Amino acid sequence: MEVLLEQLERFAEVLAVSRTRHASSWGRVAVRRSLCWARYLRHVHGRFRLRGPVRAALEGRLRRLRLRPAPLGGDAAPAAPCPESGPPLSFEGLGCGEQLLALGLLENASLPSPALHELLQRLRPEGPAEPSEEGLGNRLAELARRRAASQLLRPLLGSGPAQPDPVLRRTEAELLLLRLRQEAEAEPGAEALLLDRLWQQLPQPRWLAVVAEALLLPPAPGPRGAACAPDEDDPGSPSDLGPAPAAPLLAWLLSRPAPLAALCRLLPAPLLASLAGRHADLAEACLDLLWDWAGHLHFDLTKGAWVGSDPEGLTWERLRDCFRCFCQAPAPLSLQARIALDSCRARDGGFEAPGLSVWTDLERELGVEEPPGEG
Amino acid sequence: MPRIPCEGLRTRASPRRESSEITEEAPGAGFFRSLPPLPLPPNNWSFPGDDHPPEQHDCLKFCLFSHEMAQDTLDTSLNFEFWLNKAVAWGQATTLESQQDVCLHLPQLQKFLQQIYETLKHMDFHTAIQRFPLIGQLLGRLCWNPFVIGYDENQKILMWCLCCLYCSEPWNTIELEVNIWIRSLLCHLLSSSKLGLNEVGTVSQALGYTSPDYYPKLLKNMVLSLANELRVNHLNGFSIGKTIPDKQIKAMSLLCIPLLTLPDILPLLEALLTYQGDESKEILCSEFLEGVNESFLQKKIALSESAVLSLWLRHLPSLEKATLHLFENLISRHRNASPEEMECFIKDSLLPQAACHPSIFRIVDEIFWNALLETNGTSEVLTVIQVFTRCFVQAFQKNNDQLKFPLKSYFPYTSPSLIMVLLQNPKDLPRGLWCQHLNHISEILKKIVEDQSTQSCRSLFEHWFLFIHFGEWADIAAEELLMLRAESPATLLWLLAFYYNPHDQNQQRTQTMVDAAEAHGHIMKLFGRTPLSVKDLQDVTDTRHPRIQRLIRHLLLNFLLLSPDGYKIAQEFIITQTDEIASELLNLIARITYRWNRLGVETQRPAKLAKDLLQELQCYTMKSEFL
Repeated sequence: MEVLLEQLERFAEVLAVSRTRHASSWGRVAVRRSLCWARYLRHVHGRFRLRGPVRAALEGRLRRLRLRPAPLGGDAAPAAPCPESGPPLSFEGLGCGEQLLALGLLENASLPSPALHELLQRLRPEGPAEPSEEGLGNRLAELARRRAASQLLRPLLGSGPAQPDPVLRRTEAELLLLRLRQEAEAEPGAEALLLDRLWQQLPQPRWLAVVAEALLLPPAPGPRGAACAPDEDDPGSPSDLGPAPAAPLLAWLLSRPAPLAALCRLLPAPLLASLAGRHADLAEACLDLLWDWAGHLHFDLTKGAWVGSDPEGLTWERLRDCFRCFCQAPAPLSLQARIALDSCRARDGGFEAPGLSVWTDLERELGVEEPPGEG
Repeated sequence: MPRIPCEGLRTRASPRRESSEITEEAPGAGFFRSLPPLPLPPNNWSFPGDDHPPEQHDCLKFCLFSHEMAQDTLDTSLNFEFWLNKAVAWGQATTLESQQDVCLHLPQLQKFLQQIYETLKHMDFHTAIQRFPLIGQLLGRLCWNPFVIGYDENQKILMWCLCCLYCSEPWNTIELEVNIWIRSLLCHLLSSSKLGLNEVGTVSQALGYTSPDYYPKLLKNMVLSLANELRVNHLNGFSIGKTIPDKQIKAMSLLCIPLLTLPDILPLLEALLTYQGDESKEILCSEFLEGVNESFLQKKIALSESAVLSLWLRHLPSLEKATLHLFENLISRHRNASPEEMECFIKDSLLPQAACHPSIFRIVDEIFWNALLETNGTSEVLTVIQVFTRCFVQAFQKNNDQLKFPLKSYFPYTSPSLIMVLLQNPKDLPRGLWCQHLNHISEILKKIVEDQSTQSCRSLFEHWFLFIHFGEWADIAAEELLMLRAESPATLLWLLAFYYNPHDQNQQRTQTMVDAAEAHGHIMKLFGRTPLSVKDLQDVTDTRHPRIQRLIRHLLLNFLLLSPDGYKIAQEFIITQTDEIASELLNLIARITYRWNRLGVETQRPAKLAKDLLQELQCYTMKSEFL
């Protein structure tokens, strides 16, 4: 067992190195050996995929590796995977280790020609000496085919270059949830770290769109692992993620004021309403936030409108749009929104005249004078 | 062997030779000359031939375009030019015309690429360049055409070709640059980092996933989204108005053509096949429908029954091709298939299930009719029709949930009472009642046939054809005649006579009946005769009654299987017959054992004997075919 774990470590290093400039020292033998290791570990993956204890041990070791500083003379940040060295190895990654290795070597411009030649020969049907080596070329070709297929079908989906691509978002959302689950299994609390990092790294609108999509993904059809074994080809399919896959994401969002604020400010109002309708906690948090912001609005007599003191902050229009969508949403949310409006208005003094309370004006604008439960 | 009418089958024309558009290359041009202005990798390298005069680089001499060398194997070279011209014309297949043209040529292109690879795999870069100077252009252009890459095995073969050309130890600039070019092209094919899609990698890469992880997912989501849109579009069509115009659906079907055998695409294929437009005109492009049918027939995709039904309902050539394909399987390729095996093939083909739809049944029946006419009603074809009908009836009776069509819609030109009485499954009748039932059938048929004043010749054959479908009853009639269970053997004989000679006129039929009765009597006398010799059998089948030979053989065969003495000399007798007659008899034996097995008839010993006889005879015929 210990031997296996060491081999695992060795291979993870190899995989990391294969994408860096250190691979310039590799020769034919190195490539051959590393492919050998990849193949061996793929068999390991196949054997222990469904066997709890061994798999857990392997995952544990891989997790520890991820947290270790990269073995590259310390020029990589310790906690974050070095982008140059490619993705950290996970247990699922062992299943396609050969492909990852091959792609890494292929994309690495510093790999010398003889070494790449060795790899390329193995992609041909006459190349590999042993029959167990066959299949790498086929799998890579399958990948190429799928890539071409996505390219062919993409124009049909009707989204132009300016609009965000819903299918893409959905795929990214699924991958996000998959990664969260893997992190959660590895170590509790790791999901939050990951999400923090992504929040820093990615452009906000992009990240928020993915988060929204992830929170809106339909829940699993049945209890986890009910009907069949986890889909090998599609490990991130909703049925495999368990009953509440987005729970860690939601928890993170609710505990981080900055992302939550950005969500409320930037997400299109109807989308925000769908999110809030789906997750009651989020609805509450959003309403609280909106109430808080609304406090910063004051009525400008010269313009005859509500303006905010902070140009970056909430605008009257945004407030109105959000509440409009909330009130038009199905049952629990619309009720919640109206109750909030009423109570806020009452708190402000229950005025009827315009220009005195933002809530009064809001209610008048939205036409929700009637008590909730009607209309 | 009966010839199968194959008019429905299409053959693809080989690519027409078009005039070459490529002018002869200047010396020193090399591998890279006039590479297409496509979005190639950003490295700007100068072409070796530009800066250095040719004589400084020996290797460049290898790269000279050599007309003389090209003339050697004329075929591949000319084809090379043809395909290169095509690749240039197609570009990245962004226009409708180029897309249609690509789809038309995909199978031949794959064969050509296979040939190229077979040639390349023994060569290194230099030899390859001598042989195919413009190989770089061809491979480069094809790799940027998603229609080409998406089809079947093209991407694999292109990858292999590129791997062949890679120089293991580059010792000059050209080879180094070739290597760089190959590497970048392979990256384009396989990897994510040089995608043309909008920043698709950003989030996924940040999450630590690479192409093996997200392409399957992305594709799956795309397919589901499109399939969903189609379904919604269909539902909305009548009220809200369509969101997807018909033209786009046609484009969708065109785009799917290269991807047909990719399993991920299946939900979209099914959604397209079951999509109903408002117009009566077909929206999906015919190449798509043909392609789907072809892939289905070759078992490369696993379509659901309803999708196949939709396909055949909307595209007649596909249905015809499927039926002919089945026929070919049953008659040519699996000649010695027992009716049990035939049943398997037939059920697998999904035709009986589809035939529950009357329009499909009628087309299939028409093809059977033609086959029957072309082969003069040979026994093999009769068996196929019989087994098919049995499978069809099973499917029809199982088809509870959907709307059942009235029987008349399947056999519109025949008398309903005849249909009902023929449809009766012998299994559901006690054995003792079989004769009575046969009498009933005979009565009805006789009435129809002899009512010549109102019947046309065509109508006569329609009824005969119907009878053929349920030819099992004729087989039972022959058996009952031999077992002497019939009260009036004349009725049963009439049935058999009609089965084999439907076109007899009045006088002829009377004569036939007389002859048949005589032959029947003769055969019954054989029961008592011991020892029985082959000559006795041959006496029966001599040419005294030339017009009822098949009927006589049928009766005789039953005798051979049912009488112990007859069984002993059966093999000997059959061997003495001509090949054609022997195969007819073998076919009859197979049919008889099939029926006995199905009906659970208590003739166990004869059944086993018959099976053994069949096996021995088949071995014998196979041996004699070799000699």
